[in-house]
Amino acid sequence: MSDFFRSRNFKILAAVFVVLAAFFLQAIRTGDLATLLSDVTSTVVAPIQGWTASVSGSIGDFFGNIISSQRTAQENQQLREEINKLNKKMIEFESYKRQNEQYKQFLGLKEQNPDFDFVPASVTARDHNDRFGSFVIDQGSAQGIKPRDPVITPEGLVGIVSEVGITSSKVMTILDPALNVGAFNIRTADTGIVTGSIPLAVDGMCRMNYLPRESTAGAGDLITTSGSDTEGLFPKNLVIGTLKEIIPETSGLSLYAVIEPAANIPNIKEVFVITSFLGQGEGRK
Amino acid sequence: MTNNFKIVLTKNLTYFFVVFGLYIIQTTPGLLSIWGVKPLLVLPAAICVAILEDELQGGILGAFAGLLCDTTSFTSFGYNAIMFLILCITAAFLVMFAIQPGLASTVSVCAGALLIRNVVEHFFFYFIWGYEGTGSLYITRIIPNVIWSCIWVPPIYWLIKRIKKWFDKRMEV
Repeated sequence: MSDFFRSRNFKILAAVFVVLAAFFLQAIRTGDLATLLSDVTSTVVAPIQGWTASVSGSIGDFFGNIISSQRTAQENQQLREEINKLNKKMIEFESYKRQNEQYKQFLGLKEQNPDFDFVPASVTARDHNDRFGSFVIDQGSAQGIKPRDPVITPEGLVGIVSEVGITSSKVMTILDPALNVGAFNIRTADTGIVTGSIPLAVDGMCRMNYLPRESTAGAGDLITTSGSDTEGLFPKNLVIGTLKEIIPETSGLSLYAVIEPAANIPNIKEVFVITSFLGQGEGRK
Repeated sequence: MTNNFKIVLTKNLTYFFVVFGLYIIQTTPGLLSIWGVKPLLVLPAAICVAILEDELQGGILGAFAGLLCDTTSFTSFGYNAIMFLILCITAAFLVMFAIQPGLASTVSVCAGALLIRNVVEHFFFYFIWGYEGTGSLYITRIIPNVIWSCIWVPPIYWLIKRIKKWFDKRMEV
């Protein structure tokens, strides 16, 4: 064993360890900014991940349609037979159809929010250890994306960009306890903070904290962004989700609500990154 | 450049491509996912190389595997690289001084490495931040991830062994 510490192998491994430790400390020091090594690695890996994700998605859609048609065959048999015929054609035109849908959603979102500038992106990778639905998209700083840009789908808010590389970015979702979103109940006008919770994240849910004790909020209420967080991270009136249940906090001083996100976070394939909106980066006045 | 050096270089490049391919498989959305649990394939591959070859090849390959994982992981960049480097070197020393190399011992070492990696990550990225319900992650994520990853160890071990055998034969010739 002592011979090992005098050997050439030990010196090489020690050098590798020192280099990795330097990048690790740099990553911690800079917070959410990617290091040079991270940029190089993700730039090489991202195009291959994009290709495999699109192949996996096409295969999954094809078999998913067949399986789901079998499950509801009794009620929709005729329609499902037509869908099966169309699926065969869909495989050939899948990439053009997906692009066309993206552009339609892009136009719809732009018409509703003319002050938004956004970049469409595809989900290319999900970490094996992912607990909060976080994922990697195929757009990065080269396409104008910055850390903390909001990420949405036409259904609702997904999260924010946590790390940006040249051609890819990591997205932290609203299921993550590290992310807090200023929220607003459209029916009761209650405000609160939507954040993740480990027990709820398993079921794809999140929670809205600091509801007042006298709140009349109930199941079915629509929750949107309030646009009043201190860092101007999110624009106002983005749909977050639907209130499922109200539960008193253990302290008894306030309530919290279980929120079902409007976006299907575990199965998202396409998103939009808002690179600019009115009021972005402005604190609460 | 001697023939033996070329063969060793090609063998190590093959290991790198195997790890890269396994990384792509483990991060492709929807692939190999059971109830939201995906296996970690690259660490067992690097440990197999550490056990069948030596600590240098295993350590470097482990660091490379960790770097790949860092590009998608929510942990700080470099965490997985350092972790995998240390685990692979430890695995190589275990085989050198304590245990016989074989499939059963490889699966045990991989299970231990995966558990250590997940527990350390849980401690530094969940427990110390005071998030509620962190204990439930052991039941819902950590142990299922270790079990699902260990199921893939035998075919990975077989693949690495075949690659080593093929190249060793060419070196003998």
